[in-house]
Amino acid sequence: MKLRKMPILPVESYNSQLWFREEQKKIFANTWQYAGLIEDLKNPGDYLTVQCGLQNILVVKGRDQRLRAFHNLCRHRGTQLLRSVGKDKKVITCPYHDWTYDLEGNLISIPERENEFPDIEIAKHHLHKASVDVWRGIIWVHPKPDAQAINQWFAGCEKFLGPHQPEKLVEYPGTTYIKEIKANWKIIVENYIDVYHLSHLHSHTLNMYDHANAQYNFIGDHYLFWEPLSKKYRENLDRLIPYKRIGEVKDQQLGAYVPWLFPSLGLVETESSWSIFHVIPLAPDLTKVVVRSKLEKTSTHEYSQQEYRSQSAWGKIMGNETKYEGGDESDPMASGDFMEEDIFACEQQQKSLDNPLFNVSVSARNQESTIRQFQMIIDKWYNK
Amino acid sequence: MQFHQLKIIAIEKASSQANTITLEVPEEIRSLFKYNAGQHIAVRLRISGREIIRHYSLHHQCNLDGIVQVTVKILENGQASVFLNTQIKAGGYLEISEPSGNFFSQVKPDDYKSIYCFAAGSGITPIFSIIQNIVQLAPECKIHLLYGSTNEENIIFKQKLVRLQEQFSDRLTIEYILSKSGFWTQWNGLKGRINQKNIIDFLYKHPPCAQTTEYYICGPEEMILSAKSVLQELGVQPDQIHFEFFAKTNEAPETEHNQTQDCQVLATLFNTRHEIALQKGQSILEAMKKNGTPPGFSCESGICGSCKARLIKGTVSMLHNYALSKEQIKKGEILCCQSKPTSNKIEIVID
Repeated sequence: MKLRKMPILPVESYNSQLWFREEQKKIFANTWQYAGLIEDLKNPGDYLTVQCGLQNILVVKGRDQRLRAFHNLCRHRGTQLLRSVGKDKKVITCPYHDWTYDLEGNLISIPERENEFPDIEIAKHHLHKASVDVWRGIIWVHPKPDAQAINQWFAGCEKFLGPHQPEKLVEYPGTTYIKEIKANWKIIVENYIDVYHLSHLHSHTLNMYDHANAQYNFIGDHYLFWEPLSKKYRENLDRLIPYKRIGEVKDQQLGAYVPWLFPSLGLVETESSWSIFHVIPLAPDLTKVVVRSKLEKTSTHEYSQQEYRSQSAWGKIMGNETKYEGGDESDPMASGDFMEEDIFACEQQQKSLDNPLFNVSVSARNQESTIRQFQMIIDKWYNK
Repeated sequence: MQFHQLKIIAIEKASSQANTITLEVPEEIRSLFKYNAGQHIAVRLRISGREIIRHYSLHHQCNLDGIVQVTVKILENGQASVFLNTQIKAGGYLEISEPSGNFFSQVKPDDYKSIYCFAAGSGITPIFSIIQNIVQLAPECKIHLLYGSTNEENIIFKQKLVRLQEQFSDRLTIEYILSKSGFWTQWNGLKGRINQKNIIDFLYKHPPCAQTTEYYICGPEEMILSAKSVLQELGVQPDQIHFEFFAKTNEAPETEHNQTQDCQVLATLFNTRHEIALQKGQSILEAMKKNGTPPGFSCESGICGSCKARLIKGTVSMLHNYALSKEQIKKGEILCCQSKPTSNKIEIVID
């Protein structure tokens, strides 16, 4: 029963600057990271930038429709070249001294070159290359130019994901959720992969799924999870489904596919939506979460109709009670929103880390084995 | 090049203008007939007293089954292709070389790649072979084919391509483009030739999923050169582009090629040394043939690679080279049929 001992990781791993920096270097700079969805870069010259540990990476679409990734760092004095996202770049010019690179990363122009850099070997000042690929409708980057192939990194995972084809789904305005949570990023991941809490913290918010029949396992460093619809929800699916049913999801494939792709991306693939849940560590005790959701193509009219039908049937069939009824309206436990419930739990856990009496005495044999496994994976990367 | 007598066991129509010929490989030489998807064989024919050698791409699926298959399209003024479409019968024999060629699939089973293929006319034959190989070998690769023909009846392998696309619909997209679709036909697909606009549109319509890409091009020279230059202008690296010429065209010799000279050639041919006097204007192959000591050769157009040699000393200028890669040239490999010396003494090794 040695396995059930938790924490596997020390308290400092959740609140010290040292651990935070080491994780950035050892984990986030050495793994494939979410950079965006394929539709974020539609046309040649469209670009985005993304932080991978201590390194910023820029991704740009070439005229051959292929993506290129470079370290966002001028070869002259190291200034960041591009900021956030943009469109239609023909060349990349550093704001500091106007050194200019083409979209292949070749240095093509230096102001006052004849006088100031007469001997420069221009070919040696190519932008540092990084790796980029597309997998499951998502753009991924890796700071190393010779990264492990992405299909190898995710080898074996695909058959445990939903039948969804994310590239066919549509992101509607107002469906992005961004929140800074006052907790270490691992606390948020542990909450995400905690099977035990689903029936308890979310007893009134995620009751459309049958947690008792959840199936979960790790493949490589990635966590794969699926659970069926609850009986009540399934029997009334046509009335309750909040958005248009996703075409690819056949009856025998219904359920929630909720994997955690190491280290920092969760997916939520359901009968009516497909979302990414991106965790961005900002500080030892602060993490940004970005959720983007995609739906089956639908008209505004259809959308409103469906929403109305679902909401009016929901109370009658599933019930509108919340975990804690009455009392303070601002209580997350009375919000009826599972995100609010999770954020509350994570922030409270982070606070307790400073309490001298804090310890985890014992953990659940099955439904918290996932957290132990995750901590062992972190431990492995940290000690690499 | 070694030729073998192979028995014709079947002849079938591949389109209104092309036949598929199936040949039997005798047990004792089967090991010599192992090949990669995209490689070809040479057929040696004697037509009205003249010897003609032509290359045809091998079909992918029969590898190791003890048979080889090629498809031959009738070309205007194409003596060999007309002969092979009208004058041969099942039960007869053809002289066939062992498989060779540098144009074959570079894909490995675990690869995650996006493959773009551009084929025109009978250029589909090696491409079809490469596509069949990739869809079966590498389940995570996606293939996009743009295939140009003159009209619907001339789409070689139409039925087979349709079936293959149905079978692998999630991994194989095919677009057909017709240059002479005709006013009265019901053709709703693309019209025209494979040119800059069509290639750019095709890439835009089918952007790569996996970001490691490879490009395979086969067809007439003009189409290959234009496809290659369009891709390179778009930022594709030359080593991602694989191509094979099907019909050669005459090109004005480069200036450098005219600056050749009389030369003493020291050739080591299978460990035997020959001293050959080469006259200005002659290719190395021509000089060696005249000397009565020719190396293996076949197409004499810089396509097949049969007359490959290593240049040890001196310099040469090569007119056409469709057979050697950049790396091979860097290592000093040359094609005897296309090389004329630009120094007065050269030394080559052929083995």
